[in-house]
Amino acid sequence: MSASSTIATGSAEETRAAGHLLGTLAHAGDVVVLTGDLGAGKTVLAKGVATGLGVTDPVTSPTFNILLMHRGRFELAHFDLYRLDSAVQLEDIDFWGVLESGAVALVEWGDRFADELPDDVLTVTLTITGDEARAIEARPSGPRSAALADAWADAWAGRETCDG
Amino acid sequence: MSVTVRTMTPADLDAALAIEHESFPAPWSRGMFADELTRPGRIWLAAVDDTGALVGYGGVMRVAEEVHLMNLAVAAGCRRTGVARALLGELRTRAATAGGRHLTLEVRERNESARALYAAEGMIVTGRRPGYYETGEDALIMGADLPAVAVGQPGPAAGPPVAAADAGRELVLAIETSCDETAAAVMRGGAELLSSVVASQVDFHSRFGGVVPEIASRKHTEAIVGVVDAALEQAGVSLADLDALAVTHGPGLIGALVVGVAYAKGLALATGLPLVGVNHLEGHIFANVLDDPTVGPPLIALVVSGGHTSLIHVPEWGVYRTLGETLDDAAGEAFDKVAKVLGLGYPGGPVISRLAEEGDPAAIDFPRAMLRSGDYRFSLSGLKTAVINHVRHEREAGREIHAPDLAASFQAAVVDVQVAKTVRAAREHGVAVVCLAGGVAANPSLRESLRAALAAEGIRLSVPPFALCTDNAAMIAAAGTWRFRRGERLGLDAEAVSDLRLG
Amino acid sequence: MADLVLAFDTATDRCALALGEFEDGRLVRVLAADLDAPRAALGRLLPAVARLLAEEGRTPADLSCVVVGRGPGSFTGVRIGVASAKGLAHGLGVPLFGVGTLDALAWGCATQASGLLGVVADAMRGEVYPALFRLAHGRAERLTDDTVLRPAHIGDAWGALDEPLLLAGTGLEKHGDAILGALGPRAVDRVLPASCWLPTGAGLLAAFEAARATGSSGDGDPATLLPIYTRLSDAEEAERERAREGGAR
Repeated sequence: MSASSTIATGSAEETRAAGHLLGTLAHAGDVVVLTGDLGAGKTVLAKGVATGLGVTDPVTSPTFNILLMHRGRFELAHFDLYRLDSAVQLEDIDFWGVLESGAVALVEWGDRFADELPDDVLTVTLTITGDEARAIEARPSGPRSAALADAWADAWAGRETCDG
Repeated sequence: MSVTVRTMTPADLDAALAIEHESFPAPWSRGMFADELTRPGRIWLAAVDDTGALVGYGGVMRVAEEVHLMNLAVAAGCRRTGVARALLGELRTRAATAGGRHLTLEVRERNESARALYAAEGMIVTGRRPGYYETGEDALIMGADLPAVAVGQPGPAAGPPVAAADAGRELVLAIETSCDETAAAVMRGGAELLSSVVASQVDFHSRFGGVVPEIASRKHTEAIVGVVDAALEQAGVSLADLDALAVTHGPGLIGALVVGVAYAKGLALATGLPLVGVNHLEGHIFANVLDDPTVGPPLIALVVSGGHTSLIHVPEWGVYRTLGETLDDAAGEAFDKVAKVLGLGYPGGPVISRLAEEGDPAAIDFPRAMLRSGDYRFSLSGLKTAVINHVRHEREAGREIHAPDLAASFQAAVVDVQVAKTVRAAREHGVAVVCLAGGVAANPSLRESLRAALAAEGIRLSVPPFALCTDNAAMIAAAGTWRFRRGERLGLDAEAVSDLRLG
Repeated sequence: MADLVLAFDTATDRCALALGEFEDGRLVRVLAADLDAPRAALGRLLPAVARLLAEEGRTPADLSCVVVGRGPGSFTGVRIGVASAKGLAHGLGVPLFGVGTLDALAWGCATQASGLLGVVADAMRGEVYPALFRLAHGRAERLTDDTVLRPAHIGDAWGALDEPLLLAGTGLEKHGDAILGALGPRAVDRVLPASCWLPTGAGLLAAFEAARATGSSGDGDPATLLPIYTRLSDAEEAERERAREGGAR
């Protein structure tokens, strides 16, 4: 298993581009947990992941609906667990059913229910490092998420080389 | 020979029985035909030649979307002349218009010519019934989809004729379970509200600081039959009196929506009533019409609720152009989150607006995000963060939070942006009326500020009565009746759509 | 004239569906139309019901009652089945009865095997819904109540078994090793084929026939029939606790 890797972005556009890249690399069944303070850019990154997956409809905060599904190369299941209070409620929104259905899952506030998450997830933490600058840390917890994290870091490095 | 296809009547029975007897080893009796011709859900057609003589007939039975061919026969001397094809074609068209989506039939395995006819009509073999016929012969089951007729999509403005004998007096039962309210309503003619029942669950949720979807879905399942019964009883009608059903099929919590949609589809299959799908946001806009039938397009609607903050241009009913919406949090969500930070409980809207009455809206200068962005988008997460930071700083400094001032200042920041953008949208699109819709429309400060600002421009503000601002089924009945008149139908295969878009 | 009964269960990836004819309370004919519909029950259940009725030349008005699988299973799946059944029964004005999803599964197995059957249905999140049945003469007698637990605890839950078990259920897919490990190698006779791991329409009708005879399929009121969740939410636990305290006072 690889250790965590970090991508540094300098603008909201770059954060979105990093998400886009992750979306192009994701496979059916991947689970990505998104964490970070309010305003850290979770939604920006999520919008990027969606376009990377080929989703064309607009991606907004799922706080109210808790789960929004989008159709791209795979289904994108966009969760926001902010409003849930107990793990039992995950059953009500069919959390495990959706995770096991072959969708790519993005889970905001998933860290609130760390015990309930599958064993192999990629935890992506956004940290505010400047007005628009963000540090995006990717921490895998199993072989599958490690492969995704490695591919993401490599592709991002390759992209910077090409740009430079 | 030219053939005309028309509705079959009892007067055709003598000729039909003759054809029946020469066509089948186990012919139907006169009684069977007579009974079939009078049953509901049947379509019987007769084919006649230029002399008016019967040359063939056929009938189908329709159960909701499923259509089954019961009988099809052509006089011996007229076979292979296109009579059967003409009958089948017209049966399919009429069945599809009546709401049928899929046609099945049984055919003798060894009846090659019939099989060839059906195959040429696009029907494929889907199964076999061993020993189905009295001769011991197997039946093949063949099936085909029927052409879609205005199902779940806007039809022409004129639309197919309304099923009710007296159009304009249709009795519609509406069901709404998109969030935490289980609601049902009965309405006549799209305007006369006979009953509106809401099994409010807000008390049940007050301990949780938010809508608890698990409890919402569980409660919907528990409450739905009782709520519908209460709505019918209060309206003084029974299911048999209804002309149509309407149900909210999005947007909302998926686990909550599926309960209403599944129940409504079951009711539609059981009763044979047409079912119409309604967008929850369209319902909120229609709530304005319930109070004042003169309200109509072109208009601008500001939809503000726990899940939505959208400015919508409505040039005509059914056409919704979203000018802008929130990039992050909805207005109601911001009220709820701020109330949670202040420890004020759920829902946040009423308690914050009540506190704000005693506070100074200029006490704290919260940010007015996107006020000068030049477009119609909203952003409320920055404001929410500013409130959270303010509370934290004050507590760290050991100062008491002056809750009324904070509530008033927060509310003013929300209202200022909404009013400014709404007035600008109304001016730009030259509308004479603005509709406020959604739960936050109950906020007195938003109502009064918007009314005053629009009045200065000579534009009228329409606000729904308080009882119709929160989720209810009366508004779904109003929007549903309108969509029913346009011939729109939700099929039995319909899904709930948590992010259903307007327009 | 035989009573026509419609039965379905959408708690799992298989939409169990059947029409049954009853004469004097006895099931005399079954027309099964089970379909695999993973996570698609809302869109596919009622079209399949309408098609089944039409193919039989029957209409919903011919139904004398509706039977629905109450779970446990996927919460959303169970609610789709229960809400659809409520709409149908309410609209027809006929009784609605409930049967356990695992009972339907066990009665389906009873036509193919006999002995002690352990059902372990996948409850997701690393848990299973277990239940013990005695299969004999084509019938299934339930020995334990519905619950949810970790596969490793299944041995404790079922206690000492006096004979080797037959096993069935989707929990075996993910947790087969853990379940066999928890039960011990000699506790298991054999695992039934995967075709027996999900409830069937025929099993549902058979379970209903037995439940109706003992009056355990509910009072027939569509308003009061509820899903079996096995897990209570914290809120409902608290309410129940409060109600108990209030009642004691």
